[in-house]
Amino acid sequence: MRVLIVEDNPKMAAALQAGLRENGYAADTCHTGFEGEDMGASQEYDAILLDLMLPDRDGVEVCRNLRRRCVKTPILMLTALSGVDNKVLGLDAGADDYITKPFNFEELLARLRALLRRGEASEGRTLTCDDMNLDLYSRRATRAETEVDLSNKEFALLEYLMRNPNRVLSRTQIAEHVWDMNFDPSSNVIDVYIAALRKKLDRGHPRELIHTVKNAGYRFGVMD
Amino acid sequence: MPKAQPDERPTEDGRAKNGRVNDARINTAAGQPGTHQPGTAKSGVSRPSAANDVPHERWEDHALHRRPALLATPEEIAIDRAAATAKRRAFTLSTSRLSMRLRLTLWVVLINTLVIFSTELVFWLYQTSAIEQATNERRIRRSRMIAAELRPYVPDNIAQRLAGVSSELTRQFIGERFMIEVFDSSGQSLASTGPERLDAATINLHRVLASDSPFVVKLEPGAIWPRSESETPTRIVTTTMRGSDGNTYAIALAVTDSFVDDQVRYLRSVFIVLLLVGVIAAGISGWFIASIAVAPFERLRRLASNLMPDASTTSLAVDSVGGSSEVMRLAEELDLARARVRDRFAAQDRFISNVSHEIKTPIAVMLTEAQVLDRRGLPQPVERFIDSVEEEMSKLGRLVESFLTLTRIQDGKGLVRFSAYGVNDLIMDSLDDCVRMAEQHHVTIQPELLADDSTLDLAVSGEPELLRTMLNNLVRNAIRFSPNGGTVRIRAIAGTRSRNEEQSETDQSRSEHFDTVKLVIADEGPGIPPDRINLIFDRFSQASNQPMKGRGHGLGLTIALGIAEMHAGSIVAENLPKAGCRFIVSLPLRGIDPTESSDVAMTD
Repeated sequence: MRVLIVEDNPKMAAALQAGLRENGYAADTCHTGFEGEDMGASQEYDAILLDLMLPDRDGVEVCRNLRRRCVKTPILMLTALSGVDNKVLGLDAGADDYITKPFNFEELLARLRALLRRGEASEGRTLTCDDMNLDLYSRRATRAETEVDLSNKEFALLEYLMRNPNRVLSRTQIAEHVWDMNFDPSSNVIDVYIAALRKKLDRGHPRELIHTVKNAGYRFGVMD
Repeated sequence: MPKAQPDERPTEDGRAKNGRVNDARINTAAGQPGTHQPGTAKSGVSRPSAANDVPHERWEDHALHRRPALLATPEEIAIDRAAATAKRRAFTLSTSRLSMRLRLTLWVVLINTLVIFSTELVFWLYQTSAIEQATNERRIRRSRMIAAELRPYVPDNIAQRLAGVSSELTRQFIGERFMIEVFDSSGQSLASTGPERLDAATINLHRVLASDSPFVVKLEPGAIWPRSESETPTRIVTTTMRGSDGNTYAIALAVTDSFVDDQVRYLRSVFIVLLLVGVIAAGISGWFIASIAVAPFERLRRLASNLMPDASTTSLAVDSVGGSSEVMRLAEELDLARARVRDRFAAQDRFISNVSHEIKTPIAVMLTEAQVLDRRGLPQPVERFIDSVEEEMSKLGRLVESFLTLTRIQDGKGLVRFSAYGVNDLIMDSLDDCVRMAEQHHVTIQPELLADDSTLDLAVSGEPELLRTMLNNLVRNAIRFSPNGGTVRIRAIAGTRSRNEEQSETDQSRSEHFDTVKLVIADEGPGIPPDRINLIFDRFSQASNQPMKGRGHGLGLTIALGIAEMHAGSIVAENLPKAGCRFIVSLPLRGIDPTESSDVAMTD
């Protein structure tokens, strides 16, 4: 995995590079927006870490220019600014995620992993089951040609279900894969999110896609 | 204003002592039903708005003695503004300042009245003197005619002839009383039509006889005939005539002035009616003219009241195109003033973001360096030092972040954008943020989401980032005070404002229309000491003086409360009967708040 670090503070760039290398990534650094655009566009990277404040130009602009040059590489913005406006601006310009300095390096790695997973998974891929479509790149869900508005967690849950069609998935499995944590057995989180998905997907459709398997968990797919 | 706070505290302390459950209720004005009652409005005004209200107090004292709500919600700002308007209005009345419209009207009426009155006065004087003159001439003519009639009978048959003339005159002077008296050249009365006698001096008899020119005199009512018979003045014309014997005689004709009086009275009533009509017309037209004059200002005021300092709202000068030059000038001035305010805001924003960047960058560098350092083979003390650097740097980073959030909440800018945030998503996102800390502290977080079909996708309205920060702060606080192996419960309860008790969620079938959601964060820690329960939302106030694991920086709860209040909500802290305490956040649900109709609103 190759990561490009566009960061004007040399110490920060070096630290990031060292940290990423230690975690098995190949990392290149550059210190200006111009270099960043050039390297991001000319070489194949799996992800770009982009600082928002660069000496020659705004990180948002770099991001926009990269997207204009059809660079689809996932971009993770780094910034010391935490205003909501900045985030919205960055995401609008085509960044995929956003992390505020100072950050926990573990968190950075986690977000990077998520981005890479997404990038890998989303290469033009669409999950389909019956009349249910899940576009992983544009993150849109449609059932019978109608777009369904899903929150991030609902989307993640549906993705996991659709990646494992016709398999009985236990609550523990779901919790670990979708939330990366374990809930107390008495917690209603999984049931609530399954119910929310059912309400949005299955209500009003003749064929249900989400089925409850008693004492075991849930199963996704068309019932035979 | 801040002095209102100490007054409130004794009662609360009293309640804390005898109540089983200690309850620090920090409701915002907006969090309660009936916000717009006068009493609530008053509390909104008296709320301390910022730390600099009490510049001479020491900071620590200040933090300890102040109640938590340092932050003004948009509602409160609105209330403040309403109060200011009311105050201004009271001031206006007390100094008997009238509205521009009324003042203009009064001036128009006054000037018009003066003009009409003086014009009428001139006419009046001219008309009455003309009437006087015409009457006098007519009377003189009349008495000459009578004299010509009488001449052949003077002096011998004068008495009989006078009676005949008198009866003839009765037909001509309708509604008047009259008498004729004839005098000889020496001033002796020869004859008279009535029993009354005229005084020679009054009618200037001797001069008339000597000069041969007629004389007219006007006597007050009652001079000849008693007042009971005639209320009008009497006009007496004295002329001379030559008798049949060749001597000069004088004849005096006295007639009451009813006809003239009537005419004058008529004229007067016409003038009074004219004056009244004129004044009323002036009043009405003045009011309308004043309305026309004031309307652009009124429009300007309405425009200005909806104005925000940001550039997105259009300029007044553009909006009031078509107004008069004065209004345009005023609008331009206001625009300039607004631009200056805007520049100040922008400068402040720039300053804050620069400071945040300058401070956070070195922290970030150090933290990242410490975290990615290859520690293999390092001596133990160095490794401890690196751990310490890492811990302190991340703490410092959080502190700076909190300060920035606090600044944002407190600078009165309010919410920039509203979007829907599912209650369940809010809890799960916050869980994402806090689960690592919980694991480190060996604490389990147990969420309980809105599970009922009708409550599944209930959402609150606001800035997701801030709401998440609010819940994170509360959850982290709960984790911090939990014992090893303890559980932090986060529970969402949909409810209606009328039913505050949490039982309402158990029988959801009864109330399908929820308007608030409660987020209950409960821990199993030591609880809040009763004497501090009122202070926990203060800045830098820590509920316990014992060192706690991962001790916070003392701003988390202040920020949480500030964010809740920004979203028209409230946070209540209370100790649980057995162990631990819980924080209850109440937030209005989306679709309840009328202000959320637009996605971008309320920048104040």
